[in-house]
Amino acid sequence: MNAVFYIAAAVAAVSTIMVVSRSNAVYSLLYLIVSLLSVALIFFVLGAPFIAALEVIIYAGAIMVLFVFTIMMLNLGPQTAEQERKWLSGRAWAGPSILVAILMAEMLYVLWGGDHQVEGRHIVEPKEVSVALYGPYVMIVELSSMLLLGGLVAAYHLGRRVHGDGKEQQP
Amino acid sequence: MGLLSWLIAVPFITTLAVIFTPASQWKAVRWISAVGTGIQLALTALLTYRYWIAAAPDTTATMVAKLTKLYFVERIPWFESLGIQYFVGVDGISVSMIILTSIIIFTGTLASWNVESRTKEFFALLLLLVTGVFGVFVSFDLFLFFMFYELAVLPMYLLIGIWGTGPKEYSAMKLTLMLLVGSAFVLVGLFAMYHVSGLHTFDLQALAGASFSKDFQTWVFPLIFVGFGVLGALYPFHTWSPDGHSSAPTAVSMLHAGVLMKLGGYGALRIGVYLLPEGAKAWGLFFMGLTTINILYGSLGAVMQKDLKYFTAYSSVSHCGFVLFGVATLTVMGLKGAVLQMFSHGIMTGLFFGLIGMVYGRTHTRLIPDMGGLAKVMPWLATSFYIAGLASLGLPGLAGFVAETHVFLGGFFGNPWSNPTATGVLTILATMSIVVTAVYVLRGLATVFQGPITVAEYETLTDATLPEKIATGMLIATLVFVGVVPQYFITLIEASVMPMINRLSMGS
Amino acid sequence: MLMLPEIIVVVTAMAVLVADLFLTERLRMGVTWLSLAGLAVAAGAVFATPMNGSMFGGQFVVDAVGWWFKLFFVISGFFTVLLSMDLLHGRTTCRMRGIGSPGEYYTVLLFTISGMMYLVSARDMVLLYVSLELATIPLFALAAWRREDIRSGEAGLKYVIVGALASAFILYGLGLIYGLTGQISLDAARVLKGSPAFWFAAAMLTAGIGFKLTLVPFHLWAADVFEGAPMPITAYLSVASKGTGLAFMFQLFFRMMGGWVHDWALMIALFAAVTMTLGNCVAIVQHNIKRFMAFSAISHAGVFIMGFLGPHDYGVPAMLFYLLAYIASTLALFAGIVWYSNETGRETIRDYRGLSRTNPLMALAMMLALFSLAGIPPLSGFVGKFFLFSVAAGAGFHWLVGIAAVNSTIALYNYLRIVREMYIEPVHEDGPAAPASWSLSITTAVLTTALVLLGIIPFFYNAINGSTIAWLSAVLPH
Repeated sequence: MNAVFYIAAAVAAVSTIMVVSRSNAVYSLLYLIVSLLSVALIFFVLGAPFIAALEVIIYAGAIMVLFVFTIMMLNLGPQTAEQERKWLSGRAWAGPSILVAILMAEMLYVLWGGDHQVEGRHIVEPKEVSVALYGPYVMIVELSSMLLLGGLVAAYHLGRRVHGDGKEQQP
Repeated sequence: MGLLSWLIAVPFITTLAVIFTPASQWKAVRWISAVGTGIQLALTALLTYRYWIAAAPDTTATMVAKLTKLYFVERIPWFESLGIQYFVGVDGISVSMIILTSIIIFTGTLASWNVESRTKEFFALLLLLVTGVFGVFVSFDLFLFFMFYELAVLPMYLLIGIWGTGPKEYSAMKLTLMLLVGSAFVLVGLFAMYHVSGLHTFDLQALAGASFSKDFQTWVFPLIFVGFGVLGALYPFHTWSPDGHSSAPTAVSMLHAGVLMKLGGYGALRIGVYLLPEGAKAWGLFFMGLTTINILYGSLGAVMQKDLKYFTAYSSVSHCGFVLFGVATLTVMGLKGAVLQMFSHGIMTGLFFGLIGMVYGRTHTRLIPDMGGLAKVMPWLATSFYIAGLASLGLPGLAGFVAETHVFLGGFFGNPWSNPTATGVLTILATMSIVVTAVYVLRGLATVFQGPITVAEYETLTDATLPEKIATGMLIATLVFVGVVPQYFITLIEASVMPMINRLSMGS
Repeated sequence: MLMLPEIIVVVTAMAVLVADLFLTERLRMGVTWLSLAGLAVAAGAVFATPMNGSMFGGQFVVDAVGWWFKLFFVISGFFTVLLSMDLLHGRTTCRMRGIGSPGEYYTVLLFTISGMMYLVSARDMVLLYVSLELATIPLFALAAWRREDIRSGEAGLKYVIVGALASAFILYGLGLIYGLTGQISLDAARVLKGSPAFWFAAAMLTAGIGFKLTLVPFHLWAADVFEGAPMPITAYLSVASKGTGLAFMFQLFFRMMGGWVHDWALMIALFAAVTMTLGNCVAIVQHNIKRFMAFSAISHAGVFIMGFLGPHDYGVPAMLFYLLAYIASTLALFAGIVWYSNETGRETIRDYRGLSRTNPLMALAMMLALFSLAGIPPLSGFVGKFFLFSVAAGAGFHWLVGIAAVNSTIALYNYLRIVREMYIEPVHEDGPAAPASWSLSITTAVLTTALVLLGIIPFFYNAINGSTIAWLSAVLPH
């Protein structure tokens, strides 16, 4: 039944638009989480439970990090308490909550054993994913690892502090 | 390596020799250049002799057949897949232009004997420029032609920018940019011909065999003519010329007005009229009109000038107008006259600019009203100046007369493709410029050389030195030679314009 | 072993990273030698690989065009290392703080080179995308390498944001293509018929590549990034981002959208006209040499894509040849610019005044490079431009040839501004004291010779042309 897919896709689209259009970073982040969750559900109904799980685990983890960074960048001060109080107002969480509620309903429906697969889809198990990655696509995996290493080395250089005397300090 | 390759190689090797001479040896640089251009002159003499022997007609019947083909041809494939080759050869037009260039660069080297700042760079650039000029005159492959054409234009920027006088940077930039916009037009035309012909070759002779439609020729011809016309100071694209010439150092003015501007007329003739005869017929009258403006405007402009160099530069605009006018007449007489005018104006204006440089080196002014009575202290220079002046107003017995007569006759009798009344009227208008020329030349020269000496310091000035005498003497001898016995030149040129005339009359 | 060149570059990168940990400060130069040696061996390996063959079930393919691109990338990487070494090892008169860390610098540089090499061999959308990221993400860091310089940081940040945007475009386009074909092979997309989704994908991909290749209107990042990046990286960016963009465009127009390139000729011609005109016109008002070079690079992007217009048996070799000429000329010019900036720390065009008096050879080399970029005969830049213009004319775009030729004149005006400073203006009272180091001298000498000879000796063009003929018959629709 395709309705599950379409509802999840609509939730994803709406929440992503909200991410871009919010002026407050924290609001945007809330919508971003909703957006990622709905994408995970889309993956699930498309027959990729493994990717769906990864989406939730990695992005939820990453989102938390992003969240922490944002809080750090917004200078902490006496106004923060006031700010946090505002976040608890209805306007901030009502939207995401409604969207998440829709997702929740869908999830319950799927858990109940409802007909959720998009027609004609073959369910890709984790084993198949691994075989593909380390079989025909091993070069891409290797290349990605080089990309990560390159990024790491670069981040290491950029993150290193320089003392006043110009000497470099190990982090 | 054939004779023509040597003609390109000798100036280039001389350039390299100059570059590798240490800058402290700047006196040696002059000698290297003089020897190099001297060898070039000797090679040119050899080329002329061998061409004359090879092409000498036994009978009138063989004359056209013998003189119309190319001699000393060298073909080496270059970028084969694109139909680009190293293809050099000469016909009568090329030979006469090569003679002109050799004489001018040799005398130009002598005339720049006293360039003392950055001598090495000066001669290197001058010789590089001349390499390009020789290359253009012998190239029969359009890629090669265009390559040498741009090579000849660019060193001018530095030559004027570094060693020039007055608003030199402005003039240099204006000159370079205008000429390159001109070559942009040419480039569009070249590519259009290359692709539309379907032959995939840049070989000029092979392209002549292509059948271009009349519509195609009608839109390409003006691109080629105007593109080359910019270098030939075609009105209204001539504005770089007075500024450029007046700012340039002596040898550069000589070379530029004497030879480089001829590349414009040469290109318009060789590529424009030869490859696109139908286009030429469609646009002939229009360009005759423009060049008539050129001729009149240039001569009237010269009347107003106070500066000797501006004076000569405007007169060059007028005289180069004759070249393009001759080309636009599309008659045997006119084309012959155009080539003759290229030659005679080259020599004459070279002489003019050389002399101006020599006079300026002594008086340190170029303003006509500031000078007077100079003939008393520098009789050689004054006499030479008068001869050049008389040649430019078309005195019989000097080269200018032969050329201008041909051009006017060609224009007056007209061609079958243009309105005869219009061509006649335009020719008569153009002829009037001779009167104006007489006015400004005689008045200007009289002010400078006749009468009492106006400034006391001028009393102590000296006449021409030996290199200067050699330089001016050579140029005057050429002027007189062509003026008195023009038939050699006319034979040389006449047969070579015949292919163009044949193509013109074929279509109608 | 088809992948040998890539493997050599990657192994060199790893070796440099590890060696950097063990080398003492005195022996730190070793990493430079290691990088140079690795790239030289990689260039040899490229030569040794055949011009056709495939690996990994057709995901990785070497063909004639890829072969040439790889050679160009390795060569530009090699000379970038030569340009960088003085600055990285503190051998300059004008010390620049916060640049250092040669080991990491070379590692990251080598990674980007390997990414570019994988990009041209990729025949699979995922590999194509990952290798594109490998080629660009480390470049973000290189642009921001001078940590203490706020402009360098700004350059890095701008590059990240724009690069991410471009990646998003490309990814979206690739995603749509995948959705249409259900396969990740690049060639699978060639049979696609026109449909709105397909055209949307094509637009997305073109926009994404437009960012990489700095086509107008996707060029806005270039000037700031070029200005902020360290000088050798500016040099590398101006050749590498061009090369990568062009290679990606080959993948797009000759493989994924293979059947459509003729129908889009007008669009390409418009892009070319707008890009070169805007690049050249904005360059007129630039005073900083890096920004100037950025706009020069933009205008050259417009010249490059003219090669996609016309008869491809002319266009492909012409683009490759011009890329070679462009790399030689740009890097030769940058050798002079890097030297000047190393010695004096200044980088405005006015500062070059009188250089021909104090350092005639360097000024001569720079002038030749500038003239080659402007397309003045007989230098290779002229020959390359001539061929590309001819391609446009062959496709019937005579107006574009006119615009391009007029643009060459504007470009010449721009380049003459530098020549004017070097040759006509009086000497700068505080010019560079030291002559160029051996590495910069070698770079200048080799590349200047190359830029002169490439256009005169027909061997190079004929070699490119000869090897691409077979390629074209395999790639182009009949």
